Amino acid sequence: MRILVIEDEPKAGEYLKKGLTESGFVVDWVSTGIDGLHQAQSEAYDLIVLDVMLPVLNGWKVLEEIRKTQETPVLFLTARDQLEDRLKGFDLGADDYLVKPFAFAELIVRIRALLRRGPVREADHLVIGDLEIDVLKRRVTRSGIRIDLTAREFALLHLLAKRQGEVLSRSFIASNVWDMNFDSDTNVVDVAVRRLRAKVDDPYPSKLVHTVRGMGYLLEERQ
Amino acid sequence: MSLRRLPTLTARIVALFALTAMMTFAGIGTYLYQSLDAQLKLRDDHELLGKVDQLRYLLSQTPSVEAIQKDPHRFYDATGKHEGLIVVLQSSGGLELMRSGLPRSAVLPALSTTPADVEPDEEDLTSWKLDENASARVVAAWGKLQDQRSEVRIVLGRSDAELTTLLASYKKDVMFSMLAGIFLAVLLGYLVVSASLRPIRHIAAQARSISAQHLDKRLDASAAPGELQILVESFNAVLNRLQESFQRLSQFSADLAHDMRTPLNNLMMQTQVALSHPRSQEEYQALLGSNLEEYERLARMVESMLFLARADHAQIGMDWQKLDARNEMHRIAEYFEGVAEEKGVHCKVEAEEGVIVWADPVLFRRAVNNLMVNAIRYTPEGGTIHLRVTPGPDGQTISVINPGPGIDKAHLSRIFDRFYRVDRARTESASSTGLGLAIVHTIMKLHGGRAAVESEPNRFTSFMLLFPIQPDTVVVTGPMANNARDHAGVERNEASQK
Repeated sequence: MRILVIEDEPKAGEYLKKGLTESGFVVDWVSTGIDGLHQAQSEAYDLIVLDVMLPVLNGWKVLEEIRKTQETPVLFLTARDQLEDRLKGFDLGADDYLVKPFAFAELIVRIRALLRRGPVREADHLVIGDLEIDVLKRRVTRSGIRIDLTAREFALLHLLAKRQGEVLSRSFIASNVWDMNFDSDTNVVDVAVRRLRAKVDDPYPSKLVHTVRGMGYLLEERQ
Repeated sequence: MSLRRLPTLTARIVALFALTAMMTFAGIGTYLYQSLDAQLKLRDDHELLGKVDQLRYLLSQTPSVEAIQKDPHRFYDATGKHEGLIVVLQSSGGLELMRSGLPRSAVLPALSTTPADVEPDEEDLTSWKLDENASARVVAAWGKLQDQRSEVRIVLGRSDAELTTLLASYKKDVMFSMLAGIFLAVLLGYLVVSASLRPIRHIAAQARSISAQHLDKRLDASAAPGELQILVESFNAVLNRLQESFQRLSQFSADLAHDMRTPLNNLMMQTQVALSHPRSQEEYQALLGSNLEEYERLARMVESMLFLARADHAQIGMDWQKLDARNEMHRIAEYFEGVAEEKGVHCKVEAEEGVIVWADPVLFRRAVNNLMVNAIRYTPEGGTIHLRVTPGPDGQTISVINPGPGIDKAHLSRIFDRFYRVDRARTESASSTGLGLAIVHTIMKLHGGRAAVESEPNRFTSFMLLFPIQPDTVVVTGPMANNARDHAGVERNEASQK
């Protein structure tokens, strides 16, 4: 998957490139709108990450130009969290946005979501290592042994399993499991994950739920 | 502004003053002039008619026409030698016997002559144009000589040249006194107006001395005249509000600087210490992790402040919805279930079925969430937090009640202020932004409701949120409109895959 990053701030650009590369994407980073537009028009990308505040040719203009010729998904980054800005972005044909500062895990989640767009049938049976989840019957077993989970614990495990291998941020988890769509001063998610682990991981030698410090949690089988 | 308007007002009043004076003087002057004119003319007419009598009498003493011709001076003298008086005597045959006050060449106009036994009156007087500048009042009458038979025609006239001169000089006098009067009125008006407006200038001078550094100064209402008192009082009220906001703002900035300093200090110190010696990879990772916590705290702080700033400017679009209060309480209780259990604290929802709250769901949850965070923080182990829904006549009250140390009365009034902390030393600074309750307060204001607190030290603390039954704001439903819903975007993406 090729991603074009258009970001004028050197530190941000460098780390975006590094982070995205480490997440398995092929990344090109340009620091001006003109270069970005040229790059986007001359090469094929699966997604474009576009900073709005660019000197000379700003992000809106770049987006407008890109949309004249192609439908590549565009995720824009903005520090100005104004409603008009966001509406303008969507008006011009952006697919998603993130407000700076954002969690890197959040960016990855959104990029993956954009790349996956389209009708995706959700699996009703998930298997990660020896963990099996029957979504319809709401049954979880590990090594064939039934694990009893509360409704929210199941929702949390299901979310992690659907996105296995992806780091999910705390706010993403809070939003999707409890519908709490704001940053909170609490460690509710950490506690919930801890309790889930107590049931799903602790009794077993191989661990499936992993903490990525400062970013969030992910579910995957590690050797 | 007030400085610029002050002379305008004076000029306007003085101009009006002058206009009034001018109109009054002009009116009076014109009236006086015209009445004098009329009176003088009337007097002259009477005099003229009187002279007809005089001449008739003189004629009755005169024996013959020849006697007149012989001694015309008698008749001149009898007329009193008035300037501008015209006397012409003619015999019944048309022969001119004497002429005075009129050049020989002048031709008398045709006049009807009053018979000798009739007294002429005003009706018999005729105006006769002498030349371009002067005209005369003329009358003709028959007079009888001594013999009571022969008649002499008397033509008497009076030029108005003298009258015109008199009236012209009178007119000049009136005009002059009018101008003098107007000038005096303007002068007096100016003096009077500027004296009356002195309080305004005084107030302006007072207002000028008020600046950001001296916001405690007030205008002296007692020194202002009654009409200005209302103005002064409202100005003072504006100052009161400004001062309050200004103080809150500067306090806010100071608190903000202080609260940002703590995480920044942590970041700098731990990074500097870590860089001073080579460390193991684990130590670096721990440092970065710790740094990240501080960054997140700073980011949360900025986000909260933006939220508050935007709410202050009413830039938050509300997504009004009917919420089932009991469901919402259970949702919150469930959200905090794990954290509460770890602390050995219970959550109890006390709500009747079917109670509806009009609110923006994200903001509603955020407010109750903030209260719950505090409640869990301060509830001792084994305690129970009550989440209560109380329907009332004004709206529904959501209460979060927790046992614990409580809050001292002194702090209650300021508890919703930004960055206000009851006990700075004891707060877990790493997780708290000090803005939680300020956000609750702001959210309630956005809903047209209010947040209240009750507490008894060492017993309980109770936070109450009153949501009005029907929001008076227009019900807006639509796309999410504020940053509190940033993560709603994630939700959408999530939903799109299902």
